[in-house]
Amino acid sequence: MKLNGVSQEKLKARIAAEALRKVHAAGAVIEGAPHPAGSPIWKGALAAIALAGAVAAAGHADAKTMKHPAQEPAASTASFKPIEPHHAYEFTAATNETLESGKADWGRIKNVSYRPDGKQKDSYSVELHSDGLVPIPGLSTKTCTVSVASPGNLAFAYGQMLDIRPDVDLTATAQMHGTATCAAMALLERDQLDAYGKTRLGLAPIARVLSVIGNSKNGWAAYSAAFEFEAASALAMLKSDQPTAREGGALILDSLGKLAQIADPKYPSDAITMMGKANVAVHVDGANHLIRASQKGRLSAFDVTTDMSGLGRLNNSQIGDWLEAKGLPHAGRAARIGAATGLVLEGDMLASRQALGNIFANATMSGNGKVFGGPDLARDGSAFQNIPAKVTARYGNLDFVKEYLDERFGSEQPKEQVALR
Amino acid sequence: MQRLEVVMSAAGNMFLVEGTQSFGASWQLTDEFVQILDANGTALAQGPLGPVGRAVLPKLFEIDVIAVGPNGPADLRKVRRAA
Repeated sequence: MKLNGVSQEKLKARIAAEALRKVHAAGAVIEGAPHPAGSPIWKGALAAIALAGAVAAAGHADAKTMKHPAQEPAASTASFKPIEPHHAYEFTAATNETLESGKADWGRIKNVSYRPDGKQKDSYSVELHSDGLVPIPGLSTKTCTVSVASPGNLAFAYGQMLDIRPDVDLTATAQMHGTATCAAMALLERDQLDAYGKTRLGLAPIARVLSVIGNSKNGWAAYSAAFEFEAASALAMLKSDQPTAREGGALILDSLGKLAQIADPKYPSDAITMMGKANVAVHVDGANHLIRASQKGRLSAFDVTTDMSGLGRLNNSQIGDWLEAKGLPHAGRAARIGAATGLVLEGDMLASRQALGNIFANATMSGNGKVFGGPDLARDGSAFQNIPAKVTARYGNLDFVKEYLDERFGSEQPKEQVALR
Repeated sequence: MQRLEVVMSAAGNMFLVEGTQSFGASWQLTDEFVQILDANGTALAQGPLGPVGRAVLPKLFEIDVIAVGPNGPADLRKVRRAA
């Protein structure tokens, strides 16, 4: 059988080549091998891809026909359109507006503000205040809760910073916050990979602190989240041509390995899954902010075209594609930015479906007063047990999530909620 | 048993196996290994499981298994985690 004149065998080979090429471009880690290029199968695969680049490119076109997950838009070029600073404040207003309405109000940034740094002429710092998702003993809520809870929103914030002051060196600001991951992403967008590496190195002590408190459940949740963000960053850093960035990536991966060894077996991967859900919810929530702001004309200048797709998780990228197809380009980009911040979702995996179920749960919470989520969601995970298999989104723009779920999973709505605990 | 390599990146995760045809009815993690199983639960391929894999793979459900033959990537099959 042929599809568009190409045999299935060739098509599958091309799709496989394209998938490999994409993974290689993002900087891959191979278990049990000291260096990606040192892996025999991998090495052979890469050599074949290098020889057949044109075939891989053709495979990309064919992949579109088959709607294979490997299909993703080609990496776009970053472009920054300066906007007036007051737009940033309007972004803040949009955020607060949603919070004041009391909807799905957990673990989100309460306020985003920009102010002159004072220490450095013409520089800005970003202050982020969260209502708290996971309290972390010994570390300030402002620093760590935000970094755990709202990476997507932080990416937006730093993206805004790039919009406003593309000339400002954000390195110092990044090191001031526990939110360095997202700042580092922003630096990555600027091709400041050396600064990116230094930033990530600066974050390593935080990972160590989190490891110390990893013996409590809250600590574990926080640590798990940090774990996945760190992993995402570290993996991305491996593709850098800057020695500092590569060194940072190696150090982080090394730290992760040590952290994994001391992880409390009493709290297995559900904490990671849990944070994955929070992550997705935040991303969609962030997209929702942008939808609202766009509708009000507040973010018309929000045109940061990122090159984050290569770093992102598949599902979030697909959500981004889907949003764009629905005529919501800003939200689509927002989803992609958020996608770059976690190693959370992949394909049809269960956690993804549960994450979307969680969003529905929050939507339901807003619609009929039932509390499925709330702050306790991330503190002990118990709220997840109450997520219904099917809920109705009643929360304004979150209808698109239901549509997405219906389109993606059809009649196979999430049913395996019990698998969480 | 065939050798398997786990390749992870922020752009995706996959298992590589040698050959021209991908295979497997499911996959699973053991304490030390990643395994691809047949329909009877017998391991067909196996590769090492390290710290990054321990963090990432438990969160995955379906994964691409790519067969890499003498002419490069030859086949791709989506395999779901064993129940």
